[in-house]
Amino acid sequence: MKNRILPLILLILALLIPLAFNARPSIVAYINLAMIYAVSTVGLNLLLGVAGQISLGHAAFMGIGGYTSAILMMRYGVPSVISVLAGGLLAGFFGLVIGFPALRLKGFYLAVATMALGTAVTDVIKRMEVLGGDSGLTNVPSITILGYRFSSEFSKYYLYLAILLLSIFLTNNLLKSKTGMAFRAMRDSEVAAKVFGINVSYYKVLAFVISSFLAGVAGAMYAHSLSYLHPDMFGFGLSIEFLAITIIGGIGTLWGPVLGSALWVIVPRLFGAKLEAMAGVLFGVILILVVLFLPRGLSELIMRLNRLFKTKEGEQI
Amino acid sequence: MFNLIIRGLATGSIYSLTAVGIVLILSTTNVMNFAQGDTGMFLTYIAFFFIVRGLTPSLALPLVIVAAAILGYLVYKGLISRAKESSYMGMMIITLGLTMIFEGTVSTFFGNIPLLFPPLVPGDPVRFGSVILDRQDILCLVTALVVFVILSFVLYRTKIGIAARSIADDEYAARVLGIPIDRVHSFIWATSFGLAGLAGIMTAPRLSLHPLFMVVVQLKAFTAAVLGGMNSVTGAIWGGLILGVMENLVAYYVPAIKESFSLFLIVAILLFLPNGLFGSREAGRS
Amino acid sequence: MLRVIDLTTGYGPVEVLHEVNLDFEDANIVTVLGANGAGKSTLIRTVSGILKPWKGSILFGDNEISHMDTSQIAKLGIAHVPEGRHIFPNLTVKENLLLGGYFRTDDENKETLDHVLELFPLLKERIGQKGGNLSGGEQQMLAIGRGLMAKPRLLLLDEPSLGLAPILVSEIFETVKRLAQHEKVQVLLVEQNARKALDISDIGYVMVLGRVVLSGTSDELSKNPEVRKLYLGGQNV
Repeated sequence: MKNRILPLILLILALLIPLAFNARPSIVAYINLAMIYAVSTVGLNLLLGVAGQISLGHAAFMGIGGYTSAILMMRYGVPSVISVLAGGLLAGFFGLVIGFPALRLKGFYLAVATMALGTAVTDVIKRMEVLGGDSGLTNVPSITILGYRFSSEFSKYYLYLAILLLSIFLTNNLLKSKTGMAFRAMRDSEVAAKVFGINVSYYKVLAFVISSFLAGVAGAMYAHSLSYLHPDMFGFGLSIEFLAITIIGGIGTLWGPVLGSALWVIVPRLFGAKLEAMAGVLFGVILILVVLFLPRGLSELIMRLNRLFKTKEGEQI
Repeated sequence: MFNLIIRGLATGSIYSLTAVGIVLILSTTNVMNFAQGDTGMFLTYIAFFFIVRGLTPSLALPLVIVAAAILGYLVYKGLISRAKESSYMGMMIITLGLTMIFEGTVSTFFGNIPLLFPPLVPGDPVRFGSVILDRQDILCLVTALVVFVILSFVLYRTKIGIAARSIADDEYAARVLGIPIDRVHSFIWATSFGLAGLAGIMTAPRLSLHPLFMVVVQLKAFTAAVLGGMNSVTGAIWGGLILGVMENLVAYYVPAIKESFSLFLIVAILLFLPNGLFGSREAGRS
Repeated sequence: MLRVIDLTTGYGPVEVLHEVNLDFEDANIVTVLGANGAGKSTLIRTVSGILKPWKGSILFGDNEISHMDTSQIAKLGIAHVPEGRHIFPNLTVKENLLLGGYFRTDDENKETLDHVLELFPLLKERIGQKGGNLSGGEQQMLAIGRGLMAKPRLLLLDEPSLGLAPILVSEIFETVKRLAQHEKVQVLLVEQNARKALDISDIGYVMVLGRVVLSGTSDELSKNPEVRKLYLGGQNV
């Protein structure tokens, strides 16, 4: 019984949040940003935590998704749902392209290669005048579905919540499937996986494709939310942020992305505008502490608290 | 043309300094230090702090070296040595955490606005016939040369240097011989941070001081290290110099690809020439 | 000088050595025999400090060394020549040797180096070459020479015959015997090649699955029917 009630209560709370903050749309805006980050992190978490592939270029896929969706809507009048999906798909395609070097590189070297490729993508975007080059892309329209414009933070909240929950739901299903098992086998021991007949190459590339698709979708959400894009927004710095969020939230856990993103977006606001830079320091410290002492991040923290209440939240996948 | 090459060598020597720092740490302690660039940035800001309070810019060099050695020792002892049980990925992430701490700290105390960093050696460019050399460039080259000569002396003629190379070769064997691994690691981290600091204060007069000003240098340094074979100090030195010169020539003749050039180079080398130009052993792709 | 008393240890949760006892007494060369997995290398690693004992103690002269780290144990005069040689492939023969004497002064090392090169003229020939360029037998000589650079009172030799052709094996064992006699160094020899080991040693121990099952003078052991059957018969199981 307890298993069903808690998620239901949380869902209802989630639905009610924007109403509670109706007078402060800026707070809802931050929550929306957290949700965008969470969708992207679900992708990176899949790649890093479940499939065991390291990527320091994740932000670049968001950039690809964002620019694609923005251009399609702005210049070609493509309907939002399609442009967002297209953004995801193009990002996924680039994930395919990056997946191949990943086959031959491991560990440090994959990290360096993804860092280089991620930065290369932003450089190329900067050079493309058609994408706004170094001035960026302005006046990106909001997402419109069936005539309804999602321009208010309020409306975006429900849209993003739906997308986030959908992503988590699909990821959960993926994890329970054969693919999920293959990913985990591959993460734990590539050699053993191969011995068991798992086509590691296929699954490695698949992991990159799925994670970059999600990043692309998140990028599109980002573009239509901020109405402005610039290649510098998607550089190495953002990739590291996502890495940090994935790990702090709890690498390889189901709700890690949500927890990590929530912490990421909310904490700096607590510091206030003057000390926002300190938030970076705090996160660096938290990241290091998590690596040293709390390998499953915030999820583990919650798991331990839950043990006090004996529920099954934050179960490791 | 000659000017381009000299400028390229000067830039390249900065890449080399950073790359050697990365390679030293990687080959002896098995950590991919993504904080190499930002460490230099942090140390440069420390130097800047004293310069605006009256320190002669040229004294920034020894200051940075001392500060770096202390910082390197502290970071190793306080952090890295405690992370012994972490996987390579964990260690890498710890260095990423360091970058966040360095960038955040600097942002908090100095803000994000680019600051002007004075040249370390005052004076106009020097003429040698038709060749004009910027004093800063000469300083880069000379410093790098001196550093590399000293480093090579240390690595080949001192006990601790040979011990460091032995650990890079076979850590188990070094342990068996009773070589004090921890002490050697501390030494290496202190040295690498020193190299980072030098790279930082050489770059600052050219690029202006900003929390992210060394990020691009670090990226190039990784290219240089990869070019040199990732496990070879000599390789890293040559890799940096070659990269610096190539970049300058490319920038002049084919400006469009100047920035991305080195990035694609990294990937190409990792994939097709895994030992770089100078690496000798299987550097362990895993 | 070395005494191992009721030593129990292992890796992670797995216990590998169970109450092992060993006493050098006045012997020059002590050999420990056993098949793969018997725990011989584990024993050596525990003596040299790489592995820490769970229970029991190790006495070297008057010193209880079981909880010391490898550096301290090396300084006390115990040198470990590891299984598989583990010479430094990218360092020259000279550098390899000098590292063996890490804790001694430069002058002492110079003297010892000359002496070691006399013992191993082969190494003298190859002094400037990289360790990785040496053949298996040469590397084994190098590893032993490196161990001797510390001027040890006890030399721990872990499977020196491993991977070497029979002729080289004979040579190595001859060298070890000479060393023990002339260099005033005791040798703890761990070996799968029982025949050769018993030939040169004074006392022997036989280990099976982490326990000492048999001990005695090498003479006695080589005449022991069980030992003959299992270790001297033809194949070392």
